[in-house]
Amino acid sequence: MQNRKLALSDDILLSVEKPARYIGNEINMVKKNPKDVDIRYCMCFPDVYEIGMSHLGIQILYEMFNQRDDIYCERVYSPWPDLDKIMREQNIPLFALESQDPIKDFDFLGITLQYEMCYTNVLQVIDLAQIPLKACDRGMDDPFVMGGGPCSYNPEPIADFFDIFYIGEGETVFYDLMDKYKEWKNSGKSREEFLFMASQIEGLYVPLFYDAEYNEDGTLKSFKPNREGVPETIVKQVVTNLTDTFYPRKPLVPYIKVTQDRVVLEIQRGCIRGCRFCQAGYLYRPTRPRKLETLKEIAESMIDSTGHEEITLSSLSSSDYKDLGDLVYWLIDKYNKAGVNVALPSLRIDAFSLDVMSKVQDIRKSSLTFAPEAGTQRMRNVINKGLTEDDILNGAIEAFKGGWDRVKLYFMLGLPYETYDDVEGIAILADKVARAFYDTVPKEKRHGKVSIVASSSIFVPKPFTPFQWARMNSKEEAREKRDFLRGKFAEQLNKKSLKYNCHDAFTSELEGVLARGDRKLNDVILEVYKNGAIFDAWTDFFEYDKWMAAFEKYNIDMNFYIDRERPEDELFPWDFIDVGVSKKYLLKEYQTARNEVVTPNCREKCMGCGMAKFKCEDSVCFGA
Amino acid sequence: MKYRIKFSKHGSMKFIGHLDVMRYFQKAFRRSKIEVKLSEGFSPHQIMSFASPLGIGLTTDGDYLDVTLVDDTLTTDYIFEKLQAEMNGEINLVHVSELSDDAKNSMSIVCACDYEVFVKPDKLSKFSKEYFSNLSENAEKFLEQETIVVTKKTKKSEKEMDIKEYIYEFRGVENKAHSSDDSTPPNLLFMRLTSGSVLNIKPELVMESFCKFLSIPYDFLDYQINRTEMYADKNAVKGQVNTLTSEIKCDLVPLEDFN
Repeated sequence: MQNRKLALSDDILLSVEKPARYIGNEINMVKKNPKDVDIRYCMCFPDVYEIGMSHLGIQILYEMFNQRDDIYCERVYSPWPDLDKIMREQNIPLFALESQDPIKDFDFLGITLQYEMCYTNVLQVIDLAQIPLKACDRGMDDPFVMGGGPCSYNPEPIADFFDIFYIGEGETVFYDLMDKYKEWKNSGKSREEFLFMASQIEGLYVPLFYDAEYNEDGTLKSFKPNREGVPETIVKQVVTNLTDTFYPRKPLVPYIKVTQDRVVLEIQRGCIRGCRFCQAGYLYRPTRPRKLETLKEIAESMIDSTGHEEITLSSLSSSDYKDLGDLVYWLIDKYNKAGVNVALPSLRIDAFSLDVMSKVQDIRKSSLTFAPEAGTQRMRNVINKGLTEDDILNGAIEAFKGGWDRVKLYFMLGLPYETYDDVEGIAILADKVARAFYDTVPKEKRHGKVSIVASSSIFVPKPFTPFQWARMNSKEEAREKRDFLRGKFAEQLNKKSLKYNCHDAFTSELEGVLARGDRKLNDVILEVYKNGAIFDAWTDFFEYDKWMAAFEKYNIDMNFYIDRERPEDELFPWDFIDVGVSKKYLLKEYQTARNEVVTPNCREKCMGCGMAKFKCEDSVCFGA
Repeated sequence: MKYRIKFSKHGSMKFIGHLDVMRYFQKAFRRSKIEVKLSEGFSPHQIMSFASPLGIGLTTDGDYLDVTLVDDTLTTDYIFEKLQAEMNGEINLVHVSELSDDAKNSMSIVCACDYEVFVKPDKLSKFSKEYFSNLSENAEKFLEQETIVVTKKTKKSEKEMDIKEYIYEFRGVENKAHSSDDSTPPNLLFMRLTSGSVLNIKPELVMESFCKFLSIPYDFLDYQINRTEMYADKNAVKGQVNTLTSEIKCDLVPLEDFN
């Protein structure tokens, strides 16, 4: 039998951790002869294989691209540091998993940007692929490097490294771009001419064609196209009918255990809630549910084609999906006996969710999850988190009656207008949940203590949210609050039942800088990368000092990006993108937050955020 | 109904570890719609067991797994066809046989394995012509030693051990796949070694000892090891290894023929 060609030798593969990350040939991998296609596209998730393979977006685009006979879409993930070192030493070009061919010979390298801390990994991938790091240094033989995903809504800190950003949902204009590319490919036209053609497609942003000017204080003065015919505003692309859009039927099945080792069914996109800290809640408006019958059919075909033993539902707020009960009971009836587990997403804790949880989980082993996000009602009103203390306590009491005795609570520290009373409120709320347990469950029915685990992350203000103007807490403030809160936990009556974890403040600080950064940060990121930083999202590899040194070298003050309440009329680096929700609406929401007033959700009342202009059929804007 | 499935694993699949091969077969069974019996308990799992884990980097022509199916009317041909349709091109079915309900599972009965050991194509230049031309002769001489003492490493300790008795066969053989213009070695080593839960002799250990005998350096990366068959012993006694010279001699049968 002819063995598949592998890019790496046996010696290398047998000397690195988990060689299966680099060999491809997973079940449902698409096999094409590269000679038979016009376009070779390599999709990249810039993190380790196990994380990247768990990402639904790439699975969608992978199958969508490969439906076309003229395109071969392949994949690549970040080589782990052990292989990274070998590839540099031996000058091995980064390759795609399918054909094992070097990516530098492809037409496109498309990188999904899911979190800011992956930026050095983006450079790692481009560099290992032996493609010039800066778009302006690339020539006719180099692939076009594209970016997309949540972080592309403020692409400026990494604008130098990308030829094109895709602003919006991938199912919409990719085919148009591919058609343009075919037109260009054999036309003899220049690289820049193709970029111009791309810039004419709505939703595609070519950083090269725009110039940023700054005021003396470092804020943005103007951001404009530098040539005729290039649009001033980039309009986000939205799928207007989610039920009819493309969904993968044959997702890839990895050999090694990955983070999301199961069928993922996206039941709806968008969220009606409008929590003011949540970027996804604004970026993916409007809420667009998929039809129940379609979901059943998709679930069936994905379980059949993968053989996975678990299915889970994905959306920003599954409890808001109207047919959730029908869907979940259908899945349980059909699959639980066959040994296919239904893994529930986080749900609002009520009679329904407790019933399904008791059907699909071992109560003794599973825990309840609440995300109050803030410790006091005042603070929850500020962030527009509809969950009340009664919701939490009543949900918990019902659950305790049903046999649960483990609760997880998620909070944020450093929210706008936060006081120390709000911080202390986290410990008090955790204690109230514990008290509810001891009041509800008689001694003889307890299996030891109740376990309440509260975790707090540090709030990072994001573009396109009402808090985009807000000052972020410094890591010193965050640490102070954390230590204060730790002390408050120790004062609670049920302190032995409570546990408190807090996220790392260093990473959050940097995330804060990158999230609302501008073009000036490109140099910093490049410098950090050149000094050897990769895998910043991994605590073991994150090197804070390298970042500090780079900021210093380029004389950039991190506090400009975080420690500053932005004036209402400030021009933001991401303002050239039109996500649908207007800046005016966001500002109004920021003011409403200051007044501690809750805004009704999209189903209760349309607040005129601006999304209705996309005319999405079957969306909450039209009653769905 | 219990079945025993013999499968091969080659090419890039040699980098997939044992636990992942288990997961691969679990998912393959689900895709094939051949229902595997589930264990009791809150999180039921398929009743499936493998004869012996194969290390990362090794290939096989004949490894085994035992599985209990819900439908006992299925023919072995049907199972072979349906399950083979779900294979990935590099792991393939070789044979499916029925087992009696009280058959012991292959993990508990495996007692010997055959291996072929090749010099990898990209490592041929490290070896002299004489290495290959004298391979058969040297293999014979190796086995003629009074004792073959190796250091057997376990997680806890290292101990010296004479494994001569546990090497049932060790010889140089012609490589049938070789032709003068390809990059495969002209000949290779064949070995049959004691295997299983009582005592397991790894082919790497024997290779290391053989290299020491030849006074050449040993590097595990130089060799491709391919398992070719796994055996049960008709005369097996619990907790004991029967060899060719022990009081009760072993009588080896390939697992696919043992019920």
